[in-house]
Amino acid sequence: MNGLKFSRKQLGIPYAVFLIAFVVVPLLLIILYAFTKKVPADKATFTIAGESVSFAVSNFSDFFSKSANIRVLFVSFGLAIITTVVSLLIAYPVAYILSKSKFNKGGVLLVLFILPLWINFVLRTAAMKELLYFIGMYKSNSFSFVNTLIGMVYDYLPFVIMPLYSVLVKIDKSYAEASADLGAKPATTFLSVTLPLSMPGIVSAISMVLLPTTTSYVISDTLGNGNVTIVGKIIETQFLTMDNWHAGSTIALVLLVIIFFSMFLSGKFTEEKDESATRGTLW
Amino acid sequence: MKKFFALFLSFSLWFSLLPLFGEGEVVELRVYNWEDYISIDDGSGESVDLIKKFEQHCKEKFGLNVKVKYSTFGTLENMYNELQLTKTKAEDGSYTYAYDLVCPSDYMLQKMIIEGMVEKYDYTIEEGKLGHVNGYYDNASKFIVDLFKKFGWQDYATVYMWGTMGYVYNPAVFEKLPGYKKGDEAHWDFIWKEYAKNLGTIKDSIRDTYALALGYVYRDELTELAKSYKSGSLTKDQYADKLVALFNRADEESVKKVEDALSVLKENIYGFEVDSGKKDMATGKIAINFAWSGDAVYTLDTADEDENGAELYYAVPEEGSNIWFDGWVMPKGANVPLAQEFINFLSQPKNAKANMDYIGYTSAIGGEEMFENCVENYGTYIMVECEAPKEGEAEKAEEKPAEGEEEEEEAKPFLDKESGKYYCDKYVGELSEEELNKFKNADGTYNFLYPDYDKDDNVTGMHKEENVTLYKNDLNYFFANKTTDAAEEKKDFTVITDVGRQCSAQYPTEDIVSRCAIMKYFDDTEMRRLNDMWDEVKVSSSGMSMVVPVIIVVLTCLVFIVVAIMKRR
Repeated sequence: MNGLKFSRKQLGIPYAVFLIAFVVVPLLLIILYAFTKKVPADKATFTIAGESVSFAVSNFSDFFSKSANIRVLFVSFGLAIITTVVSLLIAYPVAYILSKSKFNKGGVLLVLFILPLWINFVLRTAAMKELLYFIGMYKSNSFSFVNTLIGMVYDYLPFVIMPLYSVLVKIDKSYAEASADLGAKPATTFLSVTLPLSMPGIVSAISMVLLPTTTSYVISDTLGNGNVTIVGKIIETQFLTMDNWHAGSTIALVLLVIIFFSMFLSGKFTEEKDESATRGTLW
Repeated sequence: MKKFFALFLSFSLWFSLLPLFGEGEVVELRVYNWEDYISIDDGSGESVDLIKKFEQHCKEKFGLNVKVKYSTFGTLENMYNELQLTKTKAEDGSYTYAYDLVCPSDYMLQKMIIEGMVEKYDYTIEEGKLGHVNGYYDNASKFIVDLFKKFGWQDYATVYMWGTMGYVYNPAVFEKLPGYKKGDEAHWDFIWKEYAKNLGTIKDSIRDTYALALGYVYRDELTELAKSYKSGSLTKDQYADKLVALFNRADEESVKKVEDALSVLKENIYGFEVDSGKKDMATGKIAINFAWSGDAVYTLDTADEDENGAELYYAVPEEGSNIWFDGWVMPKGANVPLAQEFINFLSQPKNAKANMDYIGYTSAIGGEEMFENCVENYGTYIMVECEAPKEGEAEKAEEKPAEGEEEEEEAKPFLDKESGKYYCDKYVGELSEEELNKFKNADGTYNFLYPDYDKDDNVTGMHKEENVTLYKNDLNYFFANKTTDAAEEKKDFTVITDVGRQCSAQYPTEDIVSRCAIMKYFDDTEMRRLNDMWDEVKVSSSGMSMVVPVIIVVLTCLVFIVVAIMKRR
């Protein structure tokens, strides 16, 4: 039996291999593709996958010199930010009530809210389209944006409820009681005690929704009838229709940088919080 | 190496495990085709599993154990990427691809030929040997074969399915709309019309939609060309060349014009679709769909089968349109004889028929058998008086046919309860002039009794329609391909059918076909130009109105964060 004992380091090896193979290497490949471009064989510095390439930054200048690309970034992030804000506005009260509710013994109510996640994503989106059609949201193509927004919020709501709930449920009741004892009105208690304490949940919810919504073009294609184009669609076109992996990787990298930047900002914000609260995040 | 990178970038693993089971030596035929593009056994009992039949065919005729490894793709670009990712380099620097037979469409087929990815057909294989490909050349329509010869593709490809591009539309919707004139649907600007607002969808694909917009932008030029062809100042070949040149314009001026046209169209349509157009047409969500004729037939069939479905029609723009085709090519390194045998097999009229019935697309195979299939499926049938069934037979007909019994015998006459007369359904083309005249009105139109069918094609009733115009669809150019013996009577391939319905979608008249061009392959620069244009169109200009709320939200968040941090300190 002694032979089966592993040290912590050894146990970590599979995870390290996994991370390197499926996170680090792909990321490096994206960077490599983003900074190279296809050239005729005689001008090539090296070849990747049978394609002669040389280093270039022209992918980036090509991307930013097209006004459609700038617009698509604005549309995508506009849609993503609005989705995130709307989801938070809907999810916060839900999570708050669930965390307090006597009915939520054993988390049954919570499961009901998470349940849609267990149904296939494409099916959910198609069902939503039928529903929206039924209530007349497809009478004009000017509703496309709103329809897309509704679909996005619907699909990502569980990802917002979960982290908020898990943070809220861990907040000690005595904080709120102390605040009330000291004469604070419920509104003040909420704003200056509960809300700041739940900040880690909010940040984690944002990080779960913001990036996926900029790229989940299945929803915008299905519900927006293709009238709403987001950056994920542009990446897809570059990879599949244009067979230009370099341009596609460039856009993916630009997105990644923007997301890193926004995560860095929100990370700064939560660092100030005390340890016990941060531990409550689910993801 | 390429495979290695693809693995990581796509985050997915593709194992190509090729287990070889079974007795004896098994030869594998790797076929790579469009999704839903061959007849398989769908459990209804009517469809034929052609893949299994082919394996049997090889076993019986050549004693070969063949296993067909059949895989499918959804887009041509996916197919092309897959071919590139799975190729292996031989010692002499040439590439071998992982498939024996691939079915790309027009422009991709040309691209593959230009890039030297495909094997030449081996026409030297003798009759009776595996891969003697004359099965295709004996049966395929002369029209299609000539078309391929003209472009010089006959050495590399054979045609599987072909068709035209046009509008599927729902006349019931438009007849109610002010501004609509009958015949509008046969013009490119149909979907641009004001009355069509929010009624139409176009394809969410650069190439198809570009062709649509080109037709619209140059519709006047197209009309001029057609006029000069009719007046005789252009020969048939000159006209065809001009058409091809026009539909393959990708210069900056044309692209700009297309961009403007599509920006206008974007505001007028219901949306862009990938595959939902067929369903949305059948269920009545939309009333125009720009489609390939094959999809059009499928849509019309779906709508007909649905009880609440609309009666849909298909029209090819009169100014001139495009012909599309899907052809079989053999990538380098393919098992040529076996691949050719597969094509041979599919070209047999009975198999081509099974395929057409299953897919709804138009096969490249011509000849009598195919023509009769067309008549049977989509010819105009009317009810004519016929003799009462003999005693006993009528009773027998009341009973349900026993299981397994062939329904080959004459259909039972239908008893009209009101008049007490018996009627049979009959194809109009089978009636003599005299018989037809009985239904004729003074103005040359007809009053017919039409049969109503249940889903097993039994007559369940009939209804009367007045002032019907008979439409004759002359398909001699397509079907009369076989060099008939002098003794044999020359057959006339003209089908009487409803204009604009399945039959005319499947088989356009020679007139329409003569006005159609073939799309060519755009090079990288042209494709990039098209893609830039497409991005401009797809990303709405209303996107800029999003800027303000985005900036406001971002700024508020920043201010909030800064204030909160300062407070804490």
